[in-house]
Amino acid sequence: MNQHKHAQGLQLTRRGVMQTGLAALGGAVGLGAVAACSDEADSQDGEIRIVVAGSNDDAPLWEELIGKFNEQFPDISARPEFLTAPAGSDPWTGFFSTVQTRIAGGEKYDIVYIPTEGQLLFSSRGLIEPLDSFVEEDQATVDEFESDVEPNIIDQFYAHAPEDGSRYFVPLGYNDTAIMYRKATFEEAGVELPVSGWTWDEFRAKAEELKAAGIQYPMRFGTNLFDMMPWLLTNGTAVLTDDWTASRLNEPAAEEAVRFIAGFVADGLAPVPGGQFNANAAMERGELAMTFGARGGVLGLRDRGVTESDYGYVQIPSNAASGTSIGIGAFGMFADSQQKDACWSFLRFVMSQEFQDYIAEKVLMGVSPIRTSSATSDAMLQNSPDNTLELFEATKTAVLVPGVVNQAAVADPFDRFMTQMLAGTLDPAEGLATLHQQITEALA
Amino acid sequence: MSVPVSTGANVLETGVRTRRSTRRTRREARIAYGFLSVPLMLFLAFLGLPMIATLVLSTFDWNMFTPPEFVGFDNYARLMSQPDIAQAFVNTVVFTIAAVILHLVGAIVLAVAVRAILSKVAQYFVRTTLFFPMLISGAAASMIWLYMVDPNYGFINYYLERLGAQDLPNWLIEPSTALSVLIVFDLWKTLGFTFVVVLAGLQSIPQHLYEAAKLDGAGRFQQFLNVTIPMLSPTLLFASILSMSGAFQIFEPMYIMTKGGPGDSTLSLVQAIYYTAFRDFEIGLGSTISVVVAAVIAVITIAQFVLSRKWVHYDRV
Repeated sequence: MNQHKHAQGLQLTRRGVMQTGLAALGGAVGLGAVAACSDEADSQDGEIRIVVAGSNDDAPLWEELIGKFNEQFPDISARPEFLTAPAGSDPWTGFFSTVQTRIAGGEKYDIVYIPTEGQLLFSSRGLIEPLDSFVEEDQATVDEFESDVEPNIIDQFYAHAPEDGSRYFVPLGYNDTAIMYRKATFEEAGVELPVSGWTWDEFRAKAEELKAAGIQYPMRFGTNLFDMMPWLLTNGTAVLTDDWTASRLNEPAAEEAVRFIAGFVADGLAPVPGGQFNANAAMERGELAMTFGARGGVLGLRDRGVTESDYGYVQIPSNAASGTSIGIGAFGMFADSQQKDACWSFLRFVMSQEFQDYIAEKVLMGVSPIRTSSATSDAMLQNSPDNTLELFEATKTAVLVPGVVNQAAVADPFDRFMTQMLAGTLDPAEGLATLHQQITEALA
Repeated sequence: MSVPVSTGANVLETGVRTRRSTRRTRREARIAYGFLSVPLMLFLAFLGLPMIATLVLSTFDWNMFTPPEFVGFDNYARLMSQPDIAQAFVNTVVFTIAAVILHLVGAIVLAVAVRAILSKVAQYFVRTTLFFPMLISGAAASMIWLYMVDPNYGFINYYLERLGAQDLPNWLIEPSTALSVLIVFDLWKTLGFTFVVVLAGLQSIPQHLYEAAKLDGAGRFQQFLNVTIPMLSPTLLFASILSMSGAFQIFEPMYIMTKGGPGDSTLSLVQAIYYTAFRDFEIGLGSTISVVVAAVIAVITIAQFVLSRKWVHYDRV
């Protein structure tokens, strides 16, 4: 009986639960407000925060670089922050998403490193500060810097700037695609090393020679925009028109290029794309003779303790034309940065010979320095694979990788469909027609 | 018939008791509300408010950086004209149906088989082995499977070739096989949980029911059909709801192993939400897909409960 009374006494009323719920709601909202206030506090830390793609492994190089920056600007404190794309996502699209999500969540950064693929995306959303007034004040510095950049690079960089005519980014380096080969694999197979100026037919013949000599995979192809563009360009076509407003994948030359590459996979001259093929390890084991290589490839060699001179570069073979893909890495300052003058000091440092020579030597950010004097310097060419100068030579005919506002809607299906086409599970005519339609809709 | 008459002292005593009881009741209620407020606050902060926000956001066009624009039900209309979302819906439904059926059938078969094992050590071993994949993170498990089905070095194709198989598929690159691989992956990864739930349900069936069935002349299959399945039906309902809602929210293996490809053949609804909201930054449209997914899961769950009246037996023995 007592137990029954006791149980009755503990019955909670609906009104009581509702009142408790309202109080809890107030508490929940209060928690959010406290979190927001703590974000505000974080932004007042008095140093410029530079967000870059990478990991803490890059920290020692950045510390050294910021030490050099502080020799010129001792009053400015700078701190790099490294972000990586989530596992399973495209490295750049994932990086852009991570940065934007953090900013939307209240994180405050001052400077961001963005390659071509994301520059329009970030500037179109009003995240990046126009640099026109800063450039005007330092016109001589900027002019001297740009006069030392290969015209084909700087012209394309500005040709694809936002339509408002403002300047949002300071370019620091580029990556263009060539073929990286392992010299010992060719020597063991008794096949002569490739030489720039070669053709598709010679490329195919060399791959067959290597295969006949017992090399498991003479070449490895990538399926993303950056890796596939050279084959379209060297066949006289492209992924998009020059102004990036329409797809060109419905051109017969595009299908011919895809069939040419798919033929390598079908004939066992290249591994099937889409798997977990480790090109670096396969090259070291002598199972793979050639792969796509940009300047960033040197980082991989250095990380594994491989002697750079065991490898070499050769330009992409041509068929109907010459060309390769190029991406330009650049720094921009965030529009809501409270330390814009300090940010501009850092961007001026990026343009300096000292900064450019440093990235030539250390391969910081995995790019070639954008200054011609640095890209062709001894610091760049020494301790590098043979014919590293070919990377600079290729910039003269290189075409900028597309970087439209809705980049992911172009890049993701391109990668997925190209994987199928090269793997032989989708006919190139059908695959390119679908891809052309999807990209056309994305650009509309 | 005598009527009890309270004396003045009794009334006073009862009144004092009642006031004491009321004070204690109020104090206990206040303590109860205090305890209740903590989970309520957590629920509202992490589930209630986000759910309301998602519902509200589904009526806005917003990219997180520019001011949101109210668009009413435009996002819901847009949803109807998105072929990739339609494909994601079809993929998710196929995946869910396959996952629920395979989980329930697989878990019943395994639970019955494990229960038949006489050695306790062997039972522990089999139970642990089956449950073990549940303990591996989804991302790590997906990476393991990527290597297993790799078109160049994968050991699945290697051993199938050794067994004489020819023209083996590139499992994750062919639209006809990619979704099947993901279904099998999910079965391997999460069957252990359904199995443990069903095994627990199986072990709670009283032995005398089987003995009675035996006396009535029921064979093993008839015992299974007329005793095991009806007595297991509440557990099966619980397991089917969990499997369904889990399968409908599948994300990790698609995101890591296929990125939704080939084409859109393995794109799941939650993956579509992620891509729409956090890759394309169309928060309004992403919220709209979330609302639809939540509504579909709710409708299916309610339907499962309603239909369960016809096949689930809660009778106590």
